[in-house]
Amino acid sequence: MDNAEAAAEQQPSRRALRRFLRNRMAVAALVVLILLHAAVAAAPLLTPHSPEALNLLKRLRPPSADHLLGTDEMGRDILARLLYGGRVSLGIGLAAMGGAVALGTLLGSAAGFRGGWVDAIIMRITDAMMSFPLFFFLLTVLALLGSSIANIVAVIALTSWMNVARIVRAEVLRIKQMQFVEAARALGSSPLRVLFRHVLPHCLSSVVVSATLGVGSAILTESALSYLGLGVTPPAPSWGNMLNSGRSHIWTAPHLVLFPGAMIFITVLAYNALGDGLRDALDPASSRDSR
Amino acid sequence: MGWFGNRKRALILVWAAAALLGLAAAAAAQAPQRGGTFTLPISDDPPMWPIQGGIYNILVNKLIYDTLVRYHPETLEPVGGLAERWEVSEDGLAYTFHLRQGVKWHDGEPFDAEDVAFTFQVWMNPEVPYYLRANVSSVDRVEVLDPYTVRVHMKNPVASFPVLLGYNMSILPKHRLEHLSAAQLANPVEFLRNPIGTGPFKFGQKVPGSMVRLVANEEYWDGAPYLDAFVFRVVPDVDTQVAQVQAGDLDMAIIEPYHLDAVRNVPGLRIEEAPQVNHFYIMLNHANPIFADRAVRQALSYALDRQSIIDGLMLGMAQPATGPISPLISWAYTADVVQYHYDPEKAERLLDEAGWLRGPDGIRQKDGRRLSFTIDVDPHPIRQGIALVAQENWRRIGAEVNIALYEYNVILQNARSQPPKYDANPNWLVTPPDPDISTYYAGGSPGNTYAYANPEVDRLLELGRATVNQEERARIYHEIQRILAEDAAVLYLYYPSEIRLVNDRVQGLAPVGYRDGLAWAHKIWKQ
Amino acid sequence: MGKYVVGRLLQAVVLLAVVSVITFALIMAAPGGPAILYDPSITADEAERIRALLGLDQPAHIQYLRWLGNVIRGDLGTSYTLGLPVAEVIAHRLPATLLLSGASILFAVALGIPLGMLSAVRRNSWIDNAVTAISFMGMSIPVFWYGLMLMILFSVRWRLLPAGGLETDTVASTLKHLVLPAVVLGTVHMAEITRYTRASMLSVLHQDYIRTARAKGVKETWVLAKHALKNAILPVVTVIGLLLPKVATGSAITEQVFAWPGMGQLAVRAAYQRDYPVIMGVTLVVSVVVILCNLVVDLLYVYLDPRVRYE
Repeated sequence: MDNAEAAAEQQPSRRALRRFLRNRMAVAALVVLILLHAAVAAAPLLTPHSPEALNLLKRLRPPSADHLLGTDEMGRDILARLLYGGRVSLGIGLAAMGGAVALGTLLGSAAGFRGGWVDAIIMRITDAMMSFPLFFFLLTVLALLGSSIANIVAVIALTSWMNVARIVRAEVLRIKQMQFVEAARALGSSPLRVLFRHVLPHCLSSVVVSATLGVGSAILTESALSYLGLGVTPPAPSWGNMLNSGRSHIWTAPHLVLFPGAMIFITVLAYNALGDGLRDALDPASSRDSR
Repeated sequence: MGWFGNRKRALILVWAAAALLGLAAAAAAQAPQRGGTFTLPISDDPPMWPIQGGIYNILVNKLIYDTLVRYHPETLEPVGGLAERWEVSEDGLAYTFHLRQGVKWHDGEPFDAEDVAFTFQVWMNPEVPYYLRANVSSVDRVEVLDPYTVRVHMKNPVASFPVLLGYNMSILPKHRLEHLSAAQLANPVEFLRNPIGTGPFKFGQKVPGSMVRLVANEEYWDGAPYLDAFVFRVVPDVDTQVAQVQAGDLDMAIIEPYHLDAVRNVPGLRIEEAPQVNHFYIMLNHANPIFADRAVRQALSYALDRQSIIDGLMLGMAQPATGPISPLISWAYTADVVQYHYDPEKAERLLDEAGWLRGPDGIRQKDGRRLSFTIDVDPHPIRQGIALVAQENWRRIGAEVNIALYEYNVILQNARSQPPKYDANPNWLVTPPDPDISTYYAGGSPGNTYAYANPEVDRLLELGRATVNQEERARIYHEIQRILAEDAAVLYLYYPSEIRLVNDRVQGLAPVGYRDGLAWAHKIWKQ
Repeated sequence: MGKYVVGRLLQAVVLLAVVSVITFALIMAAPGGPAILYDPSITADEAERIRALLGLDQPAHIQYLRWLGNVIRGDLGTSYTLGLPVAEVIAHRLPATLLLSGASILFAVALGIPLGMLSAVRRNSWIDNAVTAISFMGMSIPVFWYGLMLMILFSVRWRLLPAGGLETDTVASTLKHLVLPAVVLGTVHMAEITRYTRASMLSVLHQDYIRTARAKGVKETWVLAKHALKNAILPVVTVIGLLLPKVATGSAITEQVFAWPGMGQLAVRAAYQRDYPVIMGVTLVVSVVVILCNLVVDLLYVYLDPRVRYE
């Protein structure tokens, strides 16, 4: 890579950063996310209570000085469970999303770019995965291997890459035939180089959107698994199993579901706003004259 | 007589008083009214075939079919059903059933002894898988004496036989089924499209996945039902059931204690607490060397805060359990056994004495084996709550306790493996109203999922089964309860009440759990 | 085109075979067995007899081949617990699921696409922010909680709609029962469609030909309708295509909460009770539906985007 090329490379990323910093929503979302992750990481400093210590005599208490967010149906401190549960839920969300996006991008771009039998095989695998009753897949795998956090992450990643794959493939099919790509090909660039230099950067924005959606949906999938009895094993908290166990108390103690529900909402919102900001910053075409 | 006997008596008194008051207050207006539809939720589509189990199936079958024996709606004593009365020979080897005359199948054909003999043949046919086969395992042969008398010859005496016959053992119509092969009898698809019984309600309509509608059998031998129709609606989610009762879509639902606060003061609804033959306990696997040690089992029992489980999880809707025999079977129950009142210090002392000493990490160990085990639990909130309390309680006395979450199906499979594949798990047991618990405690029995083996218990169980005289039987079962408690074979928690959320318009429900009480569905009426 | 469709259908047959093998392997691998074997009163002998009767004592590959042979002859087997042929059970449930899916997708598309477009065109306005907030809320709300909440409000408090179930006696009754589950299921999908419509609309709005059209003075609404929407709709079609199978299989929880007699609820109970013939049957039927949906979506691509061609 010669100097001129390196300089040209550097400038867009700096421009992207500038563009990102101009987007107030995205910056706010980033700050919220940093705070959120810092809070769950510093859980022991923020609450004296253990998330697992139960006291049936103090069940379903409303917020008080001792228990800032009240107690749940087993008399456990909700703030402590929210913070420690955040570690689990955010961890599951990020890890599962990372796995799904990596797998989906890889397979989707391979299918779209290579076409032919590679495309056919990959897309049929995608179809097969999508036509599978995923519930049954999750049930069986988790029943077989146990509902450990690692297993939950793995099954969510393995069952949620298909969306990314299909979107990436669609983008690749669309971009592949555009003039600049054909030009690059005509100039003798290797397919791999074209893929990485021209095709992938252009679908980055779609992938980023999928990825940020993915964090939230992985957190939600964990809560759905809790509803079906296959979520994070007690006594460990997760936002999902907090929501589920609070569900039956919805009539009398709505704060049990309110707090974990709000955390999931804030997380989903912040990740998506961040995703929007990143997409605008990374995809010059979409923001050239946006404001 | 223990507290529960008193309680039950009190309950009956209250019931009678309420009935009297009701009568006095509303006079003739309170006489049972005819008409109306009663709607009850079930968890799944019922096949309506009594040869198969499943609570959603059993409940519907109770209305379509009859049994030879029924349980009294208050005392649960066996009383006449399709058999008006019966007698047993001195040696306990022959039961003679005198059948009710004039009973008709829903298609108008008369019911007689041939139907009973045929049904026994189906029950005993090894080619037909039958979930209650164990109940007829001692039957030798069935003899039809005349069109309304049947004699059942036993290979060995089974004192609980009449009670067992009342336990969902529905009599089938010979004229509709006799031409079927064994394989077809396992699942008679065509018959089940329009099943025929002698029960108080006739099959009306089935919308798969949605509901089954039964209509009143106006010619029912015990009097026509007050209701016009009885609808079972498939509603798998209990929270949805609670919402539907409140919305008026259902007339009754069996609820969990944690729903109580929400529904206690809803106008138009009432909460009924009904006793049932059921107990909750923590199963222990004696094949695990830790639990083979009686001192450990006793210590775990002392360390368990049952009262906080009853108050905190069951919200008082249960009574502490002393053994596997329900106080509802009052003649056989005894509270005169070792009772494990919450006493963590005593638990620690027992473990110390038995050589289980705390290691450097605070976990007790003996001969290099750590006091470490896993509670397997299914996702039900109450059973999960029990596991959490037990974990907390037992950690305090120096045990390392993990919790693992499994589907109930997997828990059952692990429990039924030989040897059982689990350490401990919270479970419950619904039995017929008879003290014969040999299925669950006799060494090597399929229901003995604890690998529990005590030759003395085996001997007594055998004896109790063969003894016809009730007083003698009572003494035997008292002794069994004492041994099981002393042994801390499993950890008995509580006898739960059935909590039902009922629409105020509904009257005449049997005061016992609906699993047994629905046999009296023809007495239910609506205002 | 015809050749392409035939090719895809042939692939579909192979795909179905693969899906059925995987499902069968999972069934065999899963712990727990048919619930009917575990009644506490069933003796070990009795359990063995039932296993033999159901053919579960045979080696796995024999069981699979036997199942396959029956399927080729058009027999999906008999449910262990429902006592009915699987084909009949599915025939009862499929219409309910298709009704719910159709209604929820209709709800999602009817609201999602206009909201997404509006959001993109009025980018960064308060409308955009409101739409964004609503769609994120839709995405972050767990169905089991949202469903119960709506039921409490609309059925228990206000008594406007039935609290779950399905009664198809009259059209009015069917629609009444349909509203809540369709809205619950549709909300999540609406949120997704809104987001994707907004994103793809934004990227199209900035492409050269749109700007050219604008520069040439073509009326704004005309630009939107003619050029932008047609190009933006492509990724949206992808998303809807993705939703179809999700709605066919993924509504298990909604169906459970609303006691909706559909395929999702059937799959849940079959999985819990290890009703093997039903699990296999449901998987097979759902796969066929999904494969057909995917085929239609891919054909729509060709129609909507002339640049995409299949050989």
